[in-house]
Amino acid sequence: MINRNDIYDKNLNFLIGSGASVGLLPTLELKIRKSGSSSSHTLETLATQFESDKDIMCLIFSYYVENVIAPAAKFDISSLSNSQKDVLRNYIRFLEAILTLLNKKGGAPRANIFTTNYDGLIAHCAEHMIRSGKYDFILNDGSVGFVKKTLQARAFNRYTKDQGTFDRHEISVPQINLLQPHGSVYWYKDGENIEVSYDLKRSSARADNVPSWMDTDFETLLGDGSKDDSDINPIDFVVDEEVRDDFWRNYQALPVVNPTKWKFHETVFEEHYYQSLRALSYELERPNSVFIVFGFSFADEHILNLVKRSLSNPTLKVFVCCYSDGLKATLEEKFRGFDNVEFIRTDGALDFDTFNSEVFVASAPDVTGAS
Amino acid sequence: MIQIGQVTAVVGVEITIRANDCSNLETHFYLGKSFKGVSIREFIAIDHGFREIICIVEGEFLDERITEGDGPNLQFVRKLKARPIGFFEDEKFHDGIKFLPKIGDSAKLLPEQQVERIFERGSAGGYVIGRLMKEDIAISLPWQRIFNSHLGIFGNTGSGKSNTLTKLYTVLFDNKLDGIGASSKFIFLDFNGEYTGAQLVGADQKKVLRLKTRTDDGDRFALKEEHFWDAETLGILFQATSNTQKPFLRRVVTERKKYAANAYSLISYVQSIFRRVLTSESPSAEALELLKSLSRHLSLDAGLVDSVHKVGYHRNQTSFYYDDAGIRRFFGVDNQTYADHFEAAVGAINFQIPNGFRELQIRSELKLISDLLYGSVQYEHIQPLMRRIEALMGDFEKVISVLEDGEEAKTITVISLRECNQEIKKILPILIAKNYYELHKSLVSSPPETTMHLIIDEAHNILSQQSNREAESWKDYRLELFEEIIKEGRKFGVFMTLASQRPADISPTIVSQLHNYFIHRLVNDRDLALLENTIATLDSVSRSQIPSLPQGACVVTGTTFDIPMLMQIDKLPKDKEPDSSDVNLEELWG
Repeated sequence: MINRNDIYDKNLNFLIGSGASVGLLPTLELKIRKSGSSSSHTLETLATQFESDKDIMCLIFSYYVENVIAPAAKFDISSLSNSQKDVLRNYIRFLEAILTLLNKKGGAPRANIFTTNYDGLIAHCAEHMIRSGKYDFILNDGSVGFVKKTLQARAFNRYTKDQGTFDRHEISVPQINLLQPHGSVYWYKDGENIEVSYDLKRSSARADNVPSWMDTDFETLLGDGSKDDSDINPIDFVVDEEVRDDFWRNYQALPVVNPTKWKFHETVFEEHYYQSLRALSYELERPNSVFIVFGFSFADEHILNLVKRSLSNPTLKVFVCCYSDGLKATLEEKFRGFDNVEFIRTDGALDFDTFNSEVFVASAPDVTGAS
Repeated sequence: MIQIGQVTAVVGVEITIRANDCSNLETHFYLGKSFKGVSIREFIAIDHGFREIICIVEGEFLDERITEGDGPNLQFVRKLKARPIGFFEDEKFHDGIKFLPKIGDSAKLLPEQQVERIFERGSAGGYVIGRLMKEDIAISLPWQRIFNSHLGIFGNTGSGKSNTLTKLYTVLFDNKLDGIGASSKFIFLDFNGEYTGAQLVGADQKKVLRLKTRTDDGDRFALKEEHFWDAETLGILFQATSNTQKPFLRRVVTERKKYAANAYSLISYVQSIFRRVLTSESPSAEALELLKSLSRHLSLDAGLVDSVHKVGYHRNQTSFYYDDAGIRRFFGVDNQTYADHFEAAVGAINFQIPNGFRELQIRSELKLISDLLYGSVQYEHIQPLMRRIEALMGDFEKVISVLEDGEEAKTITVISLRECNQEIKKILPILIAKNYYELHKSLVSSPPETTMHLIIDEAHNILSQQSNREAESWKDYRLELFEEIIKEGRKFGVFMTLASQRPADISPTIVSQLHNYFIHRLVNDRDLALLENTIATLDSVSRSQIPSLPQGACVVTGTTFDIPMLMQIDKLPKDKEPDSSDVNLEELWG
């Protein structure tokens, strides 16, 4: 539904939210409902509601670490079920489509993927594709170095060319920049730098190191669709202060942006988040840019406001994929008054599979059977 | 609006525009609207006060002497050559070069709706047969002004002519069939049986005549008796020469009319002819031969036929004799022989008067005999006509039926000539066209309240200018008829639609009289030269594209359209498309 002829020669940008990893990694969604409404809470809304209660917050974030961060940190590509592999396959199709577009783009074949996910699925899929030998491209995650890779924002402005031995020709290698404004489970604080390491043992050990503190009653409540937030009675849940402090100390070492509007105190990480967001706003303000959003509901206000600000660029075209009609209505409300945003809906749910087969297709349409 | 450059030169009607960077994208997004990028044959607007001059891009150049910036991508100065075609004033498009831009005026891209308005002048919408090829915008053609004009559809075989023709009328019938009602007639001359299925309209809403010469079970084209008994019609059917044969036919027709009131007259005529031939003072051998064939053609008493065949001609005595079992009995003045052998039998002649071609054959034989007896005709001149009648009659009888009242025509009639032999394919369309044309002309008032549309696919079959096989005079007649329809038809509400793969074969008079053209891919030089010389509205850019048009695409031009447009005609669904698809070898040989 996004015409490949319209976008291939533009500055291509993508924003991938947690909707893409559904089926492989859990999302922030909870079963427990908001009191007085039929819609359910997410970790984010629940945390905002109990912001002042330290005990409950500790419980919520322990739940977050155990159920959301740990699965991402312990993600092992070699032990997956078939349905989980489908998610990876969709990531590969998505990257393939981008590469098809880049191959048609004259000049500098580059695209930017921004993702609020801190899982490493794009990195794993790109690795798999490059190793298969069928693809030649560079996934630039912003890290520089050999033994110890560290993040540098300027790395995103570096481009690779294949140059002939006799300097007679040079060919730009297609490049996909991967920017993670919400951090990654593969980032580690290293003095003033951020180290990137895709070592599975290291990331899972760190996730295990967080002394999360869980109350089974609380966990049951969160997973109960018949309860709402008024059923959480603060008196029932008390956490020992020492345990709580220990949790927060370790938690804050995790390089992920909290699912709340909390200000983050780790300046090293924060600077990098800020750099990624600045890159997003720069890219969107370049002339003739295209911005395709998938699996992201713009619940993060800082990203929403940033995109809105860049929408003053008249040559920017934004395609927002809406999972459901309800979400489309919400998003239309959020982007009211901006002509350059187009909302995309398909019959049925617009999941990653539909996105790759109907919305964002760069290969030639299948002609078998068509007249 | 996206500004894409400034005018830097205006030389005559050639405008040079210096293009900004990024103006070479395929699509531009601006505030969410998409604009087609600049490339050849694309439209751009140049601001000119309250008017916008619309130009068509004719070329793109790179000025490599001047570069801009020093980044990784060196920006060269791109220049566009454009030609004005019209202007917008108060949202209305006017064609023609009335204003020219000035240096410094800014050039902008046109949003899609405005491009649409350039082509859709005052059409009431709904009549969509295709999309602009480059802009990919569905265009509604002004049907009001297409169907009251003569249309020509040209293109090489396989370029999509038949699809265009079918689409034109399918869309018309889909939208307007109820409105058309009884006020118009559509006659499709279908040489290859391409429209006999569910094409054009549902099979129940059209009448399909499948004419066959090979077998006897085909449909027949109904000819009203009074139209059949017309020297012109008969002349067409039997390709009569105008000097001798046609006057003869005219005499036959007049005579028939004269005695039409008396049903018995033909019988007494036959009787008198018998008597007169056999008792003539100066017996004529030819008359005798004719009498013999006449007696065969009439279903006469077997005894009489036998007797007639026993009559011989003695050349030395210039007299007839009757071969009575080896004894020659001459017909004398006393007429004893006639009285003995014929008088009674001839007096008893009685037969059912045949109609149609049989009647014609008999009447012309009678007429010829009678003319011979009076010595008022050269047998050698008329005899070829009699031979042709004899030879063609069998074929004609299979495809034409002569009825007293004719037949009520349906709104849409498809006449399939697929199973007819070459001779019939050549002659019959002319008869059909003439018949409908005359009929319509006699009914219509002025201004016409009813219209008739004659649609001829593969028109080179009958409108070709040269043919080695046919006589010169016959060819003239054939072309004259169609030239008359095309020249005078409009006044009577008669319109032709021609489709052909060889426009150069069709008489230039006819091609140049057409009003609107749908020109598909044509590669032959002669065809292209003809188009160049006869179609005034075709511009050079469109013409240069004709040899390389893809299947289904055509240049649409003519009096109805302001500017020629390149259109991709929509493909019809499988059950609606004409039966002229390519052979699928994969399926056949796979």
